[in-house]
Amino acid sequence: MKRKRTPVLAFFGIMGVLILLLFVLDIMLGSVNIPFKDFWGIIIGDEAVSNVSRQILIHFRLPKVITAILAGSALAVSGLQMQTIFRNPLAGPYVLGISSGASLGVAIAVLGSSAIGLGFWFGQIGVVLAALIGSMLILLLIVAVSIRIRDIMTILILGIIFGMATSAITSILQYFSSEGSLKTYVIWTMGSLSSVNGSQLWLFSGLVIIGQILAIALSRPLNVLSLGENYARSLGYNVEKIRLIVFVSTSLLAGTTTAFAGPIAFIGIAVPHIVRLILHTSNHAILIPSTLVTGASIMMLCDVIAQLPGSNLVLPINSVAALMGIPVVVYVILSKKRFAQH
Amino acid sequence: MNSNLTIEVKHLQVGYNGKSTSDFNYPEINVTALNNELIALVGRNGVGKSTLLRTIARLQKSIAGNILINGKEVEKTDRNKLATLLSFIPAEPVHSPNTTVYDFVSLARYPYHSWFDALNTSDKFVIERALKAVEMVSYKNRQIDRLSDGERQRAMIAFAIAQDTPIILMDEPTAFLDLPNKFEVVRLLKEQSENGKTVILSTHDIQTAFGFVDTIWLMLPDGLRVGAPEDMVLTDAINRLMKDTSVKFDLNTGQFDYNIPKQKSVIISGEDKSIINWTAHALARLGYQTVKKVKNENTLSVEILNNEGKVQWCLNEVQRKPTFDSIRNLCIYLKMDYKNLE
Repeated sequence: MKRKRTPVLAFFGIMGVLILLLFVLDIMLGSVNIPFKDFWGIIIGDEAVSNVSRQILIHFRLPKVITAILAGSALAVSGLQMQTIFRNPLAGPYVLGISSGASLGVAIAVLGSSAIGLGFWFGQIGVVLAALIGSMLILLLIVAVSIRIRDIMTILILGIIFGMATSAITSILQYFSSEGSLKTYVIWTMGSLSSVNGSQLWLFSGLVIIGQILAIALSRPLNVLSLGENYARSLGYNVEKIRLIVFVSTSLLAGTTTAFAGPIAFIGIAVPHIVRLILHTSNHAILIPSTLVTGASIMMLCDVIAQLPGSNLVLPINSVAALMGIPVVVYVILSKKRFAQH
Repeated sequence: MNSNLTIEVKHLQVGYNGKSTSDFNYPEINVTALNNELIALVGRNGVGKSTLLRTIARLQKSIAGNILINGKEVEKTDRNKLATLLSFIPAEPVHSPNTTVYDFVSLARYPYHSWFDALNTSDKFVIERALKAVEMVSYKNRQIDRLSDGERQRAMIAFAIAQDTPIILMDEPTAFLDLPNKFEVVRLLKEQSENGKTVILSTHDIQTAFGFVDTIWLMLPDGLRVGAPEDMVLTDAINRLMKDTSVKFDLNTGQFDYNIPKQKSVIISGEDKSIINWTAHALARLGYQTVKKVKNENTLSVEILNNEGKVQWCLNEVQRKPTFDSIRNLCIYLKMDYKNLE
């Protein structure tokens, strides 16, 4: 069957407009709405805008929107990388156990310290560091395994098993911890885009940008790997080396996002599929940038919805992302024709 | 040194040399391949055909020995350089969602480019030429996952042609195909060898290869035999391949036959030589040897009559003379008759 491809330029044009729109909307909406007049005033440097609006915009909304863009694009691109490298449509950024590693780190920091009677003395940056260390340790484990084991499916299974093991330890910590620290931990697992600010935002952006540059540089090897390892090898690629760089890129993207915004599920699995459904391509030189912008805009959309415009309530971002992503994943599972079994 | 020499295999030992229990080690291999040569690597399932091909393609390490390509050792050749000398197409049908035939074949041009430059006009020319060679030009916008097995195999051959290497290795290209497609694939590969390339295809299907290839590399459990298909017949190597089965290669008919003991005899008389031959063919299956003179009292006599264009088989028995309108009915009668006698 012939299928007409959506012109890539049109896609990026529409995405550009959408991102701009969502950016403005996400800044304006919240428990305190900033009118568009104030927003525009701050942009053009009008001194007459109220100081409250200015403070909210610069110190709360702008970091939150940037976090949404970074988190959405990072999770989506790392999900795409994992789907390609494992040649599995249901792979996502967390298949290697990165989020479980981060969760264990946070659990040890938040719950462990209270369990041994130290109380919670880490603070926000402590949680971020604990999550980063946790996900990086899992990455090291995966890299060590992937140097010794060539079979990609074995690596996938080991990633899942590592995830289960860390969840078990996390459960033990939860069982023995105090109510207060348990709540801190549970709230962290619900995800939040508004806890990153100031210098943390610079660190977050830096790590995600490095991860994205690696991802874009890998688009050709990923094209070849999507045919299977034999093709990649016979075209002269060093599959083990590429895999290693992909794992580093993915843990930079997904690991830091989990550290700064909590484990946000389904965006990473769903967004690459949305892009493929629109563009019908397997060329990563197109897929990666498209997934990047789509991930950013869907994350902003999730955040706009999470504000429940017109109310004072705010929903946990993880739940909104899951409710947005799950229908896409269900569609992918049901439409097997797009991923014919072999 | 012969300048037509493309592959030299010296004292090569292939196999798996690990701590695992599945140690596999094939006897030392010494063999050469020329350009213009179409070679079928033939052997029973599991004898190590894929292992040998993969070792030549450097997808797998050898245990000992050397492989030279154009006089240079494979192990010491740069991966990317090797990808311009040798293409290897694996046995599994290619599977990649959202990929057109053109997308797929164009990936074969990657060894000629750095990571970022796009396909140029000469690449496009090579891709078009490859598609034309396998008669797939009108399929170029079709999704690779929606092709039939025969079309897909042709696309895989186009990939090898587009990689534009003097050596093409294909692992089991006829394995998933019906008989017409098998012959078509071998014909396309023969064309490539006639264009000056060295083409090696592995197959367990000796009958398809037999009439077309220049050389057979016969992988017997005790070592590799090399020769023209006819050499294989005359040295009885081909019957060594059939060891432990009841099939034998018939030197006179050039066909494989079940090794049925022929204890009964039959005299066939009639006008048409080909009808006599095919009747003898069918009766041989039932254990009858065709003879010229009556051997004993059990010798059967079949007379082929031609009644105004209608062929009939008449059995000359003592009491009756049953007549049949097809070889099938004759055979059914003969089988029944002997059951009744027992």
